Amino acid sequence: MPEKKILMGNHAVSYGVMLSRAEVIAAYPITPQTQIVEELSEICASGRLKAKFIKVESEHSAMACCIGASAAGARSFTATSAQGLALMHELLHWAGLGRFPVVLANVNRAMAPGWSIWTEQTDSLSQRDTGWIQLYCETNQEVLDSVILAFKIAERVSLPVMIVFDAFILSHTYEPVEIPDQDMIDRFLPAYNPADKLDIGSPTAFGALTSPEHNMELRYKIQQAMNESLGVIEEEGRNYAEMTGRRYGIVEEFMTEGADTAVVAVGSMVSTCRAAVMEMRRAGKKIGLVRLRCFRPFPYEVIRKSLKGVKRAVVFDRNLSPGCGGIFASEISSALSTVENAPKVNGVIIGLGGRDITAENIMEGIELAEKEGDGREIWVGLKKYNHGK
Amino acid sequence: MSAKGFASYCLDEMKKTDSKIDFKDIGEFPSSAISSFDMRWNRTGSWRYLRPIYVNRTPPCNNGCPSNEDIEGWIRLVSEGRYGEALGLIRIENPFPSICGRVCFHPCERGCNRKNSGGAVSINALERFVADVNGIPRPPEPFFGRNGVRAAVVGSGPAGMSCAFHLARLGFSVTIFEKRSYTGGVLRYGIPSHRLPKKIIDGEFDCLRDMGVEIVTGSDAAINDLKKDFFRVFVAIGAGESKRLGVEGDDSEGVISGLEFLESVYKGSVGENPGRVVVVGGGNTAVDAARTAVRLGAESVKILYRRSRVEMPAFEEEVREAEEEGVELHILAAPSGVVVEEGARKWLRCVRMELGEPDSSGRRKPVPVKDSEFTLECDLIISAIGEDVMRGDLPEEILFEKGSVRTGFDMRTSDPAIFSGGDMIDLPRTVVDAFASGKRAAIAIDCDRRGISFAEIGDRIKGSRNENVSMSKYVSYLGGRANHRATGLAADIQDIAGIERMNLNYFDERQRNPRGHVPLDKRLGRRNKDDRFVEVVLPLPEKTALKEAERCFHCGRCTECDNCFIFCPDVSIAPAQGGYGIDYGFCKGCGLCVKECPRGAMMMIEEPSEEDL
Repeated sequence: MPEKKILMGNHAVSYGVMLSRAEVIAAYPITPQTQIVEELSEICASGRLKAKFIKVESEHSAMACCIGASAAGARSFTATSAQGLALMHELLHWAGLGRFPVVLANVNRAMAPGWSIWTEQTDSLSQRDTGWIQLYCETNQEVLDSVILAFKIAERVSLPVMIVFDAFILSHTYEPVEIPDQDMIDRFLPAYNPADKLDIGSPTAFGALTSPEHNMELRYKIQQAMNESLGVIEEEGRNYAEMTGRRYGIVEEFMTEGADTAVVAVGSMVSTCRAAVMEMRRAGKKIGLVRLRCFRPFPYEVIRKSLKGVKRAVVFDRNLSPGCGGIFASEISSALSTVENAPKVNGVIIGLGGRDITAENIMEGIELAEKEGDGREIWVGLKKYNHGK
Repeated sequence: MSAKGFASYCLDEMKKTDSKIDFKDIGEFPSSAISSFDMRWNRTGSWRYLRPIYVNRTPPCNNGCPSNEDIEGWIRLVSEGRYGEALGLIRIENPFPSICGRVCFHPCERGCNRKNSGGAVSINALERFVADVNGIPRPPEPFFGRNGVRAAVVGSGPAGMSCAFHLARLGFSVTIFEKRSYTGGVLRYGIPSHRLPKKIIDGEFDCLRDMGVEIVTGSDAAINDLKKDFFRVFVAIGAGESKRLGVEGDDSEGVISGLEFLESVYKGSVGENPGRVVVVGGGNTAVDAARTAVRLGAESVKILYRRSRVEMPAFEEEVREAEEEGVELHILAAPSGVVVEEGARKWLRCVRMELGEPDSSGRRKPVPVKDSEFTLECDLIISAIGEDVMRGDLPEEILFEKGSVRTGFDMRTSDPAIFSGGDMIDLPRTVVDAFASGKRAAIAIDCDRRGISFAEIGDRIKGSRNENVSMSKYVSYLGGRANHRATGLAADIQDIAGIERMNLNYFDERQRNPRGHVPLDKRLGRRNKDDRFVEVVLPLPEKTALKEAERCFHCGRCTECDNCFIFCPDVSIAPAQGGYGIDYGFCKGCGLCVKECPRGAMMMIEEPSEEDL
C-alpha cells in the first residue's frame, strides 16, 4: 500500500523529485520555494537520494548547472519563484532551444515591485516563449504526481518542463498526499539515457554557431516536438492513472454538459471555481468549468473542443500583461478566432499580488461578464474608494 | 598562425565540415544545435585577448630574508617530511640554520600572509627544527669541484664563517685567521649559551674543517701580508669597541661593557653573584648581559633604557623572558654619572627621560626631565649601548665612511684585493645580515677569479630584494644547478605575493604553534645549578613542526592544488610534469583559473603579439 503523508506543496515537490531519482539538483533559495530544496538537501544528505546537490550563487547559475548536467546525461532539477525565474530567463531559452529535459518547479509569486511574496501567475507566464512545457497544478497531490510525470514527458520529447503552483495556497498549505511506491515509479520512469550527450570520447559542440542555413529547421523541430508533447502528456497521464488511479491531462472539463457559460481557470483557484460552479448549478444556472492544466504547448484543438457550444467563456486570470490584459484570456481568444459562432470571451482579472479569491468573487466575475462583457477585461475584487462622496 | 591565416584556416575547415552535412529532410536534423562531427578544429582560443600563465611570485617571507633563503620552498619540503632536502635548500643561501634558527630576528615572519589567520608561520622555529632534525652538520658537495685558489678570511664571526663556507663550496682553499684563541667571534662570546649553545657553534666549525677550511686561532697575521699568499682577503673582525656611557665616572672600576662582561663570563673569569647589577641599554646585548647576570646569582638586575619599551631594539620575546627571570625594566631613564665612594660603594646617578620629537632614526628622541634625578646603588654597571668599529691595525688602504668600512655592493673595500662584511660595514648589525654579507663577498671573489664583472651580472643574481644576492641564481648563471627542487613550468617574476595576490577563501584560520620554554625554576638553576645555562627555548617536536609547516600558504608558488584544473570551463588546463599545461588552442582567457588560484601563482597577461611569439 502506498504511504500517505500530510505534506505542504513544497515538500510534495521534494518527494516527487526523490521518487524520480534526479541526479543533479542545483538551486538558489527564494521564498516561497526554499523549502523544496531545503528538504531535498536533507534527502540528499541522508542518502535517500543519490544526487549531486549543487549550491549556487544565483538562479542563473542554477539553471546553467542543470543544463550542463543534462547535457552530460544527468536527470536535473531546480526550483525557483518570481525574481529567481526572471533571472534565469536567458538560460530558460538555452534549456528549451537546446532541448534539455530539465524539470523546474516554479512557485507562482508576484513579480516586484511592489515587493511581494504572494501568489500571481505573471512570473511563469512571462516565460511562455522560452521553449518550456508548462503544467499548472491544483492540489498538492497533483504537484507530487506532476513532478514525476514531468520527467517522463520531458525525456520523451526532449523539452524542459516547468511545474507551476501557487505560493502559500499550495506551497505552504498541508494536504494529505499519497506517496507512490518507489518500485512503481522506477518502472514508470527508467533511468535517463539520452542518445546525444557530452562525451569526451566523441567530442561534439553543443549549442554552437548555427548558420541561417540550418537554424530555422531546428526551430521547426521544436515546434513539432511541442505539438507531439500534447499527445505524450495525455498518454503518460493515462499510464500514470493506470498505476495510481489519478489522471492528469491537458484540459479538464467540469459540469460542462449543457452549459451556456464556461468558466476557464488555472491553478489552485480552479478549486474555488468548482465550488462557485456547483453553487450556481444548484441555482439553476447553465454553467460549467474548463480547467487549463497545460499552457505550453497551448492546446488549441482541445480548448476549441471543450468550449464548443458554449455562448460565453469567462476566463479568470491571476496575471496581467499590462496594456493587454489577462494572458489566458488573450490566448483563448486567439484559439477561438478560427471557430465559427465562437463563444464570446470575457477576461476577468482577479487575485493579483496574492489577493484572496473567494467563490463569491468568481460568481461576481461571471455576473459582471454577462452584464457588461463588451470585450474589455473586467477587474474583480478591486477596491472602490469613494473619497467621502 | 597569423590572424589572417587563422581566418582562412577556419573558413577551410568550415567548408570541409559543411560539405559533410547533407540533410535530405528535416528528420535528419539533430534535435538541437549539436555538431555532427568533432569540432576540435574550431580553436576557440582565438577569441582570447588575455592569457593566463603560471608564475613564481616571491613569497613575502623569502622577500624578508636578508640571506634570500627559499623559505617557502624548504617549508614545503618539511611538510613532505623531506628534512634532508630542506636543510640542503636552506644551506645553499644560508649555511647555518642551526644558528639562525636560534638567534635570527626573523624578518621573514613580518610579511607572512598568515599574520591575520592565526599568526605568522613560526619560520624561525621551523628553521631550527630543520637544523636539529638533521643532526651534526655534514659538509655539502662543492658546486663545481675544487679550484685550487687560496682565499683568506680574517675573523671567524658570522660574516667570516659564512664567507669561508661559501668560498669553500665554490671551490676555494680557505684559511680563517682568528685573533682570539677560539672561533665564532660574537656568536660564541657575545651570545650566551641559554640562547645559542656552544656545541652548535662547534658543530658548524667542525663542518667547515671537514670542508677543508683551515682555521688558525690566536693569529696575529697582518692583512697586508695575507695579500701576498692569498688571491683575495675577506676581513670581518666586527665592531668590537664598546661605546662608553659618556657620563662622569664612566671609567670607574666596576663599569664594564656588555660584550666585555659576556666574554668574561664565557671565559669563566666572572665569579658567582655579581651583586646588584645595572645594565644600561635596550638592545640584545643589554638583555643578554642582564639574563646572564641573573644566572650568576646577582642580587638584583635592572635594565636602564632611555626610551620606552616599544623602542627597545632587543627581541620582544627576550625582554619578556628577562622580566620573567626577575630582571627589572627601568624605561625612560638614562645614566648621568657614576659616583664611587671610599670602600667601593657605588651609585649610578640617573635622570628620567621623556620622548620628544622624532630623531633621524624615526624614533622619538628622549629628552631629560628637569629635576628628575635619582640614584641606584649598585655593585656592577654594565654599559651596553652599542659598539664602534675598531680601526686598529687595518691597512691604510681600507677607507672608512661614517664609522664603517667603505665597500661597494660587491663588498670590495678601497683595496681591490680586500673585501669586508658583517658589523664592520654599513649593514644592520644582525647575524643574518652578516651571513648574507659573507655570501655576497664570496660570490664577488669567485667572479674575480673567473674574470666576470660582478657589477654586470648583479641584476641576474639578485634575490628578491636589491641588497640580496642569490647563490642559487649565481650557480645557475654559471651553468650549474644548486636548487634541489624540481624546476616547474612557472616563470619567475619580480613581484611579491602580498596578501592582495591571495585568494583567502581557500585558507582557514589556524593558530600558530608556540615554542616551548624550559620552566623558570630549572633555567635559573633552582633545581640544579648546572642547568642555568641550558637553552631556554625548546625545540619543536616533529609533530608540531609538521603542523606548523602545514600552516604555510605557499604564497606565490604553485602547489599543484588542482584548482585551476577543476575550474577551467574550457577544459583547457591539464596536469603536466612540474605543474599544469594550458592548451591555448582552447583557452578563451576567461581568467577563472587566475581568480581561483589560492596563492597568486598565476596571472593574466596581454596576449602576446605574433612578433612576441
